[in-house]
Amino acid sequence: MRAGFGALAFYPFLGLAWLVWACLPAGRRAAGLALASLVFVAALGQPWVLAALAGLALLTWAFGARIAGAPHWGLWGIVACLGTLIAARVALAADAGLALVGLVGVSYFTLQALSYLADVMLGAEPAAASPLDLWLYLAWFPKFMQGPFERFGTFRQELARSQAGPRAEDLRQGLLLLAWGLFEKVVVASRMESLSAVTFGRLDTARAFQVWGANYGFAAQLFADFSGYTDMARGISLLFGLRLSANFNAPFLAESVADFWRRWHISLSDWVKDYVFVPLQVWWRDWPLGGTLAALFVAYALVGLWHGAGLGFLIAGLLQALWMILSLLTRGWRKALWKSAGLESSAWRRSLDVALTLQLTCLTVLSFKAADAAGVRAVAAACARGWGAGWWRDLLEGLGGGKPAGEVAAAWGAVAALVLVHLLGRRIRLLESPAWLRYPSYAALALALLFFGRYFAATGFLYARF
Amino acid sequence: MPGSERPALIRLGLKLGLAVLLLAALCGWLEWEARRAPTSFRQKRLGLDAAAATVQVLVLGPSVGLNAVDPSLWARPGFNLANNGQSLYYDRALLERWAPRLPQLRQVLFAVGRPSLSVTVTSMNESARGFAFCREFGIPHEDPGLRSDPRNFSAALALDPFKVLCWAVNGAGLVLSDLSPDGWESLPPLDEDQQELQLSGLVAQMHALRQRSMMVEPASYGLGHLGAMLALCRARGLRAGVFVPPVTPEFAADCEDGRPADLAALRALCRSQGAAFHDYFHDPRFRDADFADVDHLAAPGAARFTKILEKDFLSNGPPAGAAAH
Repeated sequence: MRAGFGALAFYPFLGLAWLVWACLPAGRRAAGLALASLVFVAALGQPWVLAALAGLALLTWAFGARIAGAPHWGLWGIVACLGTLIAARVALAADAGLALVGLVGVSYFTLQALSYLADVMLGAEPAAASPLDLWLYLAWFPKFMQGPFERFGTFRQELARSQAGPRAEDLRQGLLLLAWGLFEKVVVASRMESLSAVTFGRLDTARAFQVWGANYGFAAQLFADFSGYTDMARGISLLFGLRLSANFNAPFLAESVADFWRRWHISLSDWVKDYVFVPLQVWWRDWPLGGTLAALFVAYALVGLWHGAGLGFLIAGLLQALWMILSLLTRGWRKALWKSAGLESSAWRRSLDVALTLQLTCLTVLSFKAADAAGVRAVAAACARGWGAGWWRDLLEGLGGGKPAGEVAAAWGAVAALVLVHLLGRRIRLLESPAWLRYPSYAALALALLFFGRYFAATGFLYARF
Repeated sequence: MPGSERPALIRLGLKLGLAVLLLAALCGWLEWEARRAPTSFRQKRLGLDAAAATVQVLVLGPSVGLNAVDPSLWARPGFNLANNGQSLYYDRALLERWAPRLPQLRQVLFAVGRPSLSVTVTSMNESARGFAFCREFGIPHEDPGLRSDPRNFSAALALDPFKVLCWAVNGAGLVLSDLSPDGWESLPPLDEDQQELQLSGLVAQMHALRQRSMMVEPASYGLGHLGAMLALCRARGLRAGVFVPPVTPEFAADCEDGRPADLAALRALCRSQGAAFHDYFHDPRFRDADFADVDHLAAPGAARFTKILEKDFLSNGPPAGAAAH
């Protein structure tokens, strides 16, 4: 957690940026936000990312402005966006060192530029009047590194809203989201990392159920890490009066793979649905079922490859496509089965679906630990070992990583708290709850951050590398 | 900003200020208590301060050294500076800081336990101790990531919240109640009736720890620190000795994997630096009754072992630069 939100220097910067924004007159506030974003991206110390971002913002604005008279400019713009993304992915695959430090934000700003051009070409959005708007759309510092993906039209409305200056309600919501995101990252994700890393660091001797146990921990870590970043980004944006999209909705409570993708990385799912799946489905409309299945296949393969040009990510994408296709093909049969058993709308059936979806999802998540061919081989070899007696002991060892009971209890207790908040969050809006519930909740969150946060032993945000 | 928002913003600012003040007060209290709490590290520092003018033999190492060597049994004045969770990184930092301040120092003995070469204070889940080393001896934390934590010593809360809360509140857990003025901690032997059962359980526990969490670094990590210490001894004209303390036979059998390579590397290092080396790992002179657990000697075993060390290293020890292997 060293760059961006993970750097100590970020917080004085955030305070200063907020003060400048709050003090500027209404007409100048967007310029203040643009300058803050420029400083943030420049401070990452990756000059070519800054150059690519600035160049792409300018090109996209220029191409977008010409689309009305000549739509082929939009196609050139899309080629430029895809070219930047593919070049970055190839560089990432060729140089693992560069992958970790040199490609921050590329996957996010290129896809957003592409969606802007597509929307303008389709007439869904008018072209941006000023390059400043487009710069802010691509480089807005809270979402620059890991999203969420925003649509230009929505973002433009939020920019207009932020011109009014600070609102107390936004600040309350923003600070709470920021603190909750920090909890997800430094308490849940960082603590789970210390447990799961033990088994994944010893794949040469690990056994199948140890790997599976550790993978549950890694799945919790991955979710808390990414959701934590998104909540921090949304919270920080709210401080400036901008409302960003929610990216997660308790994905590990999904009842099917399709439901999972409506809850996990929602902004990417929507992007892929709108710009890849639906156009392909329409294109192949003469071939109804086959066309839908093929569109699913392509869309999820692209989702996998968006994470990285590695075998593991491709397998992850194809696995998701496979689960989706199987789910689609067996839907009628499963419905009839549940109906005949009288369990169509029972809590048992839903719990079983949640448990099964969780297993399938965790199997996909394992690909993050097997990004390349060597990783796939190592994970596969570990999964082939130790299928005899004592599997449950291996599973417990994988869940705890052999760490002392206190550390394991703290990590899994934090996961339980996370799930509880997700469940309660559907019924209770904390900010509108009575003081007897609100203030103790704030205190519990602050104390959890103080006592259980692992701030300096943690690694960076996982999704920043994509 | 909109004029109607001003009172709400001021109210929110006041509430936030109050919350920050309360949290700062809580952090300050924890920090204060954590600094004030007595620990074995302070006991050791004060003991060595008092003995600094006369100490001729210094013992370094982790807990297996702390419990195994009682310097009061030697003819020459010595001090046992080994401690729980003291990795070779801390041994080295302590030697570099203390060697110039001990005018009579002639010899340094290093206890190297089975996992010593590969562990760090963090990998042993002993990170709280890292902050105590920093407070008492001014040694930066072994984990570079933890050196910049603004919570300073109570940063250990981030890794060992239960242990450190206990430490902050009443100083428990890190104080050694049976520490002698020479720095030796006396441990009672295991209950004779339960000995076999306890030992086999402990072997399994240690096996799991070694396999999954303790040995996170390659042996070269520890060998690097040990090599630097031996070189420092040589440069200062101090005789250096390295020993592997005895363990119970069952534990010794469980630890054989990888040991020959570590042992060969240790021997080669000592030879190259002119240090004496003795391996007591499988020493048949020690039986289960001599141990407090699988690898820590109880008081009777420690008394015998201390005399053995005196004979092997101190009585006829080779001068600096010549080794006995």
